[in-house]
Amino acid sequence: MAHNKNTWGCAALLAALLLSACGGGGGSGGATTPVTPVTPVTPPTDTTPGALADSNSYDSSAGAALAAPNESAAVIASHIQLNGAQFNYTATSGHLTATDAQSGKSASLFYVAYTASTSDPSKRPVIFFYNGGPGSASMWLHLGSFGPRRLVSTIPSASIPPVQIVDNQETLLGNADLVFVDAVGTGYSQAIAPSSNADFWGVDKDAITFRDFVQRYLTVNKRTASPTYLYGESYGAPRTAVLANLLETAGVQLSGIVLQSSVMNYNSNCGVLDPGTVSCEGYVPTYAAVGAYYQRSTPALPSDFSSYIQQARAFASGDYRTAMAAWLANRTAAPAAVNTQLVNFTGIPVATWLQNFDLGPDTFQSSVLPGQLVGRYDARVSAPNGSVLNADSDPSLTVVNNNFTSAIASYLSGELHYTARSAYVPFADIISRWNFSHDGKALPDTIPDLAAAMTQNPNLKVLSLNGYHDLATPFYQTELDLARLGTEPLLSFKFYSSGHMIYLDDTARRAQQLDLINFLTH
Amino acid sequence: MNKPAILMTALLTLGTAAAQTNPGPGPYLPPDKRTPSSEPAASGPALRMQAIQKLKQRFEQADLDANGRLTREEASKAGLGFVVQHFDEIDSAHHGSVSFDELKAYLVERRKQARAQHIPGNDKLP
Repeated sequence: MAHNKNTWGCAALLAALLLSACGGGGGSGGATTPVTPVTPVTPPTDTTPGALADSNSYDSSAGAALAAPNESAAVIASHIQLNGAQFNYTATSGHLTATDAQSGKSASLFYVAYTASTSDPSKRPVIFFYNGGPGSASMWLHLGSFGPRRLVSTIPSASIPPVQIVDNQETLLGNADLVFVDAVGTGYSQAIAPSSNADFWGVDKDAITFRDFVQRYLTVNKRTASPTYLYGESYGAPRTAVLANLLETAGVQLSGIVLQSSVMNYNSNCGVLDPGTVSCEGYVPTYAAVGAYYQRSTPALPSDFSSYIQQARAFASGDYRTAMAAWLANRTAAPAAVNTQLVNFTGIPVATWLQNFDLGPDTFQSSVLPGQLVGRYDARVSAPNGSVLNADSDPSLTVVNNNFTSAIASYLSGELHYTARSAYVPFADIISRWNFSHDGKALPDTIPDLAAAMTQNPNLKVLSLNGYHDLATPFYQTELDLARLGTEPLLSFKFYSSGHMIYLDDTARRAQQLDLINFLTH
Repeated sequence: MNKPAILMTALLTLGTAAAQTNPGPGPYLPPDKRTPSSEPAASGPALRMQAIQKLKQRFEQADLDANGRLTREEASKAGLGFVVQHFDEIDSAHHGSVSFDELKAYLVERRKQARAQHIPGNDKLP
C-alpha cells in the first residue's frame, strides 16, 4: 500500500520524465540537452474577498516538520437555500497552532469552521467534528454529514454517482457552529518544527493535540462560554473519549459528545484482531441485520425488525457466548442448535459455521451472498465477484471513495477559496507508525477515559450513533462496551438502517439530523 | 520508440493505484498489532476505580513537591484547569491546598447531586 504522498511524488516525477521524453527528444550521441527546470504551477490568483493563498506546502510524511506555521484563514461569506429561504454563514478555512504547554510540542492543525451570526454566542453551541483511521482526514464528515454543503451519495445503491455538491438540508448550522478539523499528517495538518508528524501519531499524543486545538479555537474565537460538543466517527470515537477526559481535566467543560460508529475498545472488536482470538459476538446482531436485508434469514422478512434484532442480541450474549467461550478455550464444537440459529440469521450454510465458528466480518463479507462481495462499511452495498466495484475490497467504499477525494480538493479551492502549495491529503497510510498503546495496554480501551470524563463532568451528555449494516464497528459491540459504564442517565443510543458513515444514506441522515438537534437542545 | 506510450501506461497504472490507496475511514490495525489484551475489560466499580486512578495519576504528576497536596499554582502549572476553577469548593477547609481525597470527595458529591436531577422521578428530591 503506497502513501498518497508518494504517489503524488511519483506522478510529479513521471510528469517531469514525460516532459523530458517528449520535449527534450533528439538528444543523441554526445549532445547535451539542457534540462529545463520544472517551475511549480502557480494557480491563478483568487480575487474573491477573503480568499487565502497559503504560501506553505504541507507534508504528511513521518519526518515532516513545518518551519513557518501561520494562523491565516480564508474567510468567505456564503449562503445556502435552506427550507426555501436564504441562510447566510461564514466559512473559515485555515490553521491554528495547537501547543502542549507541558511538552512545548506544537502542531499546525487545518480546520474549516462554519459559523452563523447570533445575538448571543454564549448560547450557540460549537461542535468539533473529526474522522478516524487513524490516518483519515475529516473529509467524510465534512462533505458527507451536516455541513452546509454536501456531496451527493446514492448509498446503498451499488453505483458511482456523478460528483455533485448540493445545499445540505440536513445541516446542523441552523443550531450550532461546525468545526471540521484534520489530525496531524492528514488534510493540511502538520507538526511544527522541531517536532515532526510522527511525534503526534499515537493515542495519547493525538488527543493532546486535539485538546490544544479545541482550546485554541475557543479562545481565539471568544467562544469559551459556548456549549461545546465533540463529534467523532470510527477511531474518532475513542479519540473523543480520551479527548473529553483531557478537556475536562484542563477545565474545558463539555456539553456533550457524539460517538458515531465507535470502536471504544480495540480489544473487543474481533474484526480488527487476529481471527479466532476473541469472540465475534458483537457482530452477530449485525450479521442478522444483513441476513434479513438480503432476505437470507429465516424468516426471510422478519415481521418486526426491532424484535428480530433484540432476539439476535439475546442469542449473542446467551447461547452464542457460552458456545464461543468453550470454542475459544478448547476449540469445542458448538451445539447444533447454536449453528442452526446462525444459519437462520444469515443464510450462511452450516458447513461454513462448522469450519469457522468464530466467523469474522471479512469472511462474512464474501459468505453471505454467494458469488458476491458485500461492503465492510455498508453491507447493503454488494457487487459480483470480479466487479470493478470491489477494487477496494469493499464496494461500499469504492462507490464513494474517489468522489470524496476529488470533491474535497475542488471544494476547498473553488468554494472555500483556500489554497496551499500542496495537495490536501485525504488519507495518510500511517497505521503501522501509530502508537496504539494506552494506559498500559497495547491496544486502546477508552471506556475508562470516558468514565473519567463523566466523573469530572456529571452533566456530560453522551450520544452513541450506530448503523445496523456496519461491518467495521458493529452496533452491538458498542452497546456492550458502553454498558460497562453501568446505568448512565445521560447516555443514549440511536440506530439507523445504514452503514459506518451513517449519513451517506439520505433517509438515515434525515433521522440523524433530528436526533442530533434533539441532543443539542435537551 | 514507444517510450511516451509506456510512460503514459505507467502513469495510468499509478492513477489506479492511487485510487486503491485510500482504504477508507478505518478502523484498522497493522498485522503485527492484532493481538488483544488478555486483561478482562473492567466494568462497574472496577471501572470507576480505573477512572479515579487516571485522575489520581494526573494529580500526582502535578504535585511537584510530592507533599500530597496541590496549591492553586501547582494545579495551574500542570494544566489542571478543573482543579483551578473549582479550587475553593474543593478546598472547603480553606487549607490553601487540596489533597486528592478532597478532590475525590468533591467529585463524588457533585456527581451524586447531578444524578439526582437526571434520573427520572428523582428531580423532586430535596
